[in-house]
Amino acid sequence: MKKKVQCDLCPTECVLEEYQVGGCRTRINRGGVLYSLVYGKPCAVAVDPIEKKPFFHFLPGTTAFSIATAGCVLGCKFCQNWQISQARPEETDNYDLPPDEVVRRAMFYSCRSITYTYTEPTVFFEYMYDTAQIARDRKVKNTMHTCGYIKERPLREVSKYMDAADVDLKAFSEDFYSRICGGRLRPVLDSLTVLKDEGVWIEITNLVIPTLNDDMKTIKEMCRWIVKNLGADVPLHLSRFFPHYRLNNLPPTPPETLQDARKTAMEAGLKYVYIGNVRSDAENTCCPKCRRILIGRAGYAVTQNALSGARCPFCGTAIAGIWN
Amino acid sequence: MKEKDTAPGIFRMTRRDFLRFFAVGGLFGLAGRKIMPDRIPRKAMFWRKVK
Repeated sequence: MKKKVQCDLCPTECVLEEYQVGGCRTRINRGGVLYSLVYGKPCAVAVDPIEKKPFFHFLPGTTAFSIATAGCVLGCKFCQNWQISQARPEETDNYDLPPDEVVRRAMFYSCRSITYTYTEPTVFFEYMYDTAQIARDRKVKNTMHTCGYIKERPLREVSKYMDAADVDLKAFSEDFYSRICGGRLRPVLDSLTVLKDEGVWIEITNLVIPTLNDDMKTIKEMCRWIVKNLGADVPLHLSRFFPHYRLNNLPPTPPETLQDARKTAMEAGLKYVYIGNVRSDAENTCCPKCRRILIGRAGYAVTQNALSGARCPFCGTAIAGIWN
Repeated sequence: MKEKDTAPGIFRMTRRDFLRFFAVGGLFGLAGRKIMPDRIPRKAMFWRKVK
């Protein structure tokens, strides 16, 4: 008797024969039942500033208990964490950390939130889901840094417990997703609209890679899509690329390109556009109306926070985000 | 003079010592399982059978 199963978690929809492991390397078909291979076995555990995720409009200056397991649903050639994202769970050094222990440790280290990050949290969906439920009960917030390559039903399910999501919108072209990441753009855009619909706070990260996705016309199109479908209040982080993994032949992104991209994004209507991986004034949160600095940053550190409630103390403009 | 055919002291092992060794090992194993039981693998949440 055939015991084939189909995974319904990500748009790849792997069909697995018995004892076959999915493309994400974290799910196995045993006896016609699909099991997670990474439940309670994170390979990366750390207490990070929330700014590192990056979240700039979500509890600034606080720390996030961050976890990840091995595996990923995509295979980006520029992956910054490829040592764990492109590895099988048996190839990494894993901790033994059940969901309640994750929440207990987050509380022990005074973390206001737990972040599911580093690799793609979709691959450890069950672990994230169970942990998020316990965290919600104990008043610890949940955030994830995701590529958004997940199907609608699981995303809606986990969104019930998710407070914020940082979505990697890697480029605004199907060609880029298929050639460089081994995925598709459409499901990522769908995920963004689902998150918006579920009331999850969204921030978007776009890694600007020289020659591959640094075309200003495409960046403008992407920003217009964000404004139209998600709103002008969604913070956009334009990150500097450094050579990694299989894209060692490309140079780091010139800071001028990032400045141009930021100008383009703001012209398209986005109110909060930041530059990441480079020290500059573009790390600060400014009031979109009076342009005064509200939250000053130096790298991952918050150097000043002038926000009064959720408003600019100088002109009273409401600043979108989760501040308390 | 006849030489001894077994090692002296603790290296001399009788049949009883041999059985005791495995019995104690087994007890340690059971205690270990009690302290850190094997986890039941977690079923995935989103999947279906293919006909």
